[in-house]
Amino acid sequence: MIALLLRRLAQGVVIVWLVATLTFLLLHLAPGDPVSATLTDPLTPPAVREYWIHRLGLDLPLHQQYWHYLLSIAGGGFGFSFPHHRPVSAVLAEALPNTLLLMGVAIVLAFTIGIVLGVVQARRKGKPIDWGLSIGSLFFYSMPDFWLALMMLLVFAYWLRLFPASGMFDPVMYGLMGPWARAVDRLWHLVLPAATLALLVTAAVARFQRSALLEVARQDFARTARAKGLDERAVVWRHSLRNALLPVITLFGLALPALLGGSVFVESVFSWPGMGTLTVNAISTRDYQLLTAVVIVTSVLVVLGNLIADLLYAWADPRVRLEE
Amino acid sequence: MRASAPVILTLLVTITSACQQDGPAVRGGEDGGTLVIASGSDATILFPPLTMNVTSAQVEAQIFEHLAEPGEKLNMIGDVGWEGRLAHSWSWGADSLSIAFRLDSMARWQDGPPVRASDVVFTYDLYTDSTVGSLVAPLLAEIDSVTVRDSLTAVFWFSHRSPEQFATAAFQMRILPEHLLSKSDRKQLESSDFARSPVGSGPFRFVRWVPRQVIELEANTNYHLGRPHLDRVIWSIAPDYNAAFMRLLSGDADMLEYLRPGDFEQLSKHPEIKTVRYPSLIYGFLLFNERDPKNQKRPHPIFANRSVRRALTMAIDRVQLARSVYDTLAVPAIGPFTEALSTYDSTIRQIPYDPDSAATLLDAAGWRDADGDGWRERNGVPLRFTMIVPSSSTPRMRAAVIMQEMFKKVGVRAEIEQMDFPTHGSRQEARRFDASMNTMSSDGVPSTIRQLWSTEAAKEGSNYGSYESPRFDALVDSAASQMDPRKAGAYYRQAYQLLADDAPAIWLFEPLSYAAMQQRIHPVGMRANGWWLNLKDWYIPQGERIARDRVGLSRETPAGE
Repeated sequence: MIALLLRRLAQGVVIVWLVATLTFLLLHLAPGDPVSATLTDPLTPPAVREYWIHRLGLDLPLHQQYWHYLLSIAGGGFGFSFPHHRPVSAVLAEALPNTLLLMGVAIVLAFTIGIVLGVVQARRKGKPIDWGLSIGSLFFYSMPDFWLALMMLLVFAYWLRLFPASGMFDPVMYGLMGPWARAVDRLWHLVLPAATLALLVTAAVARFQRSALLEVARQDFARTARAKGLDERAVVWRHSLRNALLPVITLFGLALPALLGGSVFVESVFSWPGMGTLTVNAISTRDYQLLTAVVIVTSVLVVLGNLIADLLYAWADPRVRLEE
Repeated sequence: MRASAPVILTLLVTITSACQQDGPAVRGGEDGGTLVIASGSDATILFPPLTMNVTSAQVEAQIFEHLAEPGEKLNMIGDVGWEGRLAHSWSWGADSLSIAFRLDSMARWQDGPPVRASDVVFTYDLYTDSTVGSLVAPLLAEIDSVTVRDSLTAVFWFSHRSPEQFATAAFQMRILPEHLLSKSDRKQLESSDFARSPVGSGPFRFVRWVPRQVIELEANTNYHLGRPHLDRVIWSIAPDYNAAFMRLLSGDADMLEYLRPGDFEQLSKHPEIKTVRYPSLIYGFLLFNERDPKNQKRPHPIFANRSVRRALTMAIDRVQLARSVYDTLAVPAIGPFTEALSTYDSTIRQIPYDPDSAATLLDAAGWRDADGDGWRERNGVPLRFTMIVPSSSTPRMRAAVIMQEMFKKVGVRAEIEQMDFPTHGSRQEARRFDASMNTMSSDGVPSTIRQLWSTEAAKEGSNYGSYESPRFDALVDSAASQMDPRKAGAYYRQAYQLLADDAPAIWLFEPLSYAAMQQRIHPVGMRANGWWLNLKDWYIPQGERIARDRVGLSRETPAGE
């Protein structure tokens, strides 16, 4: 197990370095730079532009910029964000927890609800509830993330006025609230963006879980369990589900990058101050340092997600442990 | 679904009771209340020498002060119409090479100490320090030095007389507290605590800034010109326009600073929200590149010819274009300025919409449809060019598509190349374009026209189209050296007329700026150079207040929130 972990970690480091290098190169190939993208007013004197280009080292040869970039990553600071006027690490430190909170809640919701729905569908195969849930999950599965986010906003924030339209807390009254009211306020603001992200993944989880469970239900050990006289609920929840989790665990590894991608739109629509909106801003301001840091952090998250998926896989399937 | 122009017109008439111009900047109203502004972008810094974005400018304008502000007419020549802020009076030296500003003795920094002339000297020193890298520093070049005459009098000395020297001294720098900044490492100021939790002398004091979520200020009750009416002003950040609009409609926000044409139909269903028009300095234009983008030493094969540029201008029906893009929410532009600029002149003679004359001019320039395919060519080279357009701007995209059709009617093939905003900017800076769809916001200073259209700026500056006219340069130089606003205006008029005649660009539209706000908000003195500049005078009447207006001052705000 430790050897597997170490091998995966080593692969992860190489992947992150490749991603960081590729991002650096692609960004520098794109037209524009942080100074011209931030100082957009044509009335900005050329001397001021030149001063900042020099101060940020953008006038250095590309290989020197790359070297400085690697040094800043090695130092853990990720350099300085010109559009934010702050070290990149400080900007990330604010945004990352917000995205992790959103994604964490979305993942827990999506996999819990998705697995339960998949089980319900598998147990009621061919019945109206199976059909209904299949159509429903297909509906959300095929829906573009930004459109779903806008519809959620329109229906629940504007028409029904059940939840706040955007932000992480009430900008006016939050400071006046007690600790309990603050927690509720934050939760209230989390509902729509988290539900939107969760809906996008739940559908896929439910479909995978349904087909996996149906597949497992036909296998010998499930038949044996039934022959022993166990009721169907025990057969499914105690014997079949763990075996049927393997494709869902694979999906977990894949869901992380999908959720990170989806969070760009969802965070933008709900003004959630996480990595998604930060990425959009960093692209539009050609914020090289911040953008590469976002990509590195994202790729680390994806690598870690896949590592967790591998560990879960080993937990769920003894054959994997034996092979390792 | 997009509403037609008559529908929009009807809607505008229908909501006239809700749609108004704001009142003049006079004191009045009642103290108290909270204004929540749905803002499309967060501030990046709250340190005036390094301000680069509009939200930062809006917030800083409440915390820090200029020595004086231009009046409603934005006169930048001499000191006519200027109103004191930190300085309550000023006097000119006999040779006009110095101006002594007398500070208001009641002015205090928000942490207690009085504002002194030494703060003004320190501010000038800091703005012009190259290690700070202020965007404003080059604009202060005509100031020779700043000295202290006594604790309340700061004297600005100039290297030469100029009509805008008063504006330079009084209006380019927001005065900073020496006692809080003198010991700071100037190279590190941009990432200092002060730059994120500033202390100034203005009408509002800083309370909190939760990045990308909220910025909160509250009334400075010790403000030397009288406390502002509003208790609190909150910028609630919503980068997505739809989210910001939704905050307004749901009542979570009180104000949205700009509206899109399609929003008026939606707002007509919300009687609790009014629209307020305010003057604007924004105009749109199609810029011609007069140098060949492939080899800038050569003239552009199409646009270097003045007759061709005039012909292309004649091919565009600008009245219809403005109507098609903005419905009734824009008027055709008549030059690189708007009605709000002090030197605006509505009598500038325009190149008329006249496709027949356009065809004649193009024929005369040798661009003819020799092969009868509907497109013009000369010596086998088609009359074809590309307009670069930032894809983030819907109005500019719409305008480009409509212009493409109008050009087609006179046999000119115009293609559209969309790109993201930074790419559009960098293509312009590198002069790698044929024609560029642009909008520009003037800073209210007439002489900055030099930075955009002079021969000097064509070589190194922001004259991206490389328009060169010694006569234009001479006219603007003459205007910019006149101390008499009327004489300066006469020179500017001639310079504007020359630009209209030479057609280095097609002046397209002047969008009318509308803000939307809850009925209980009473705005005062919204200005073209910043609707937020008189926020201290805005008020919410007692009888119209809601729960958040009754929060009051100085509430506890936990650290980090």
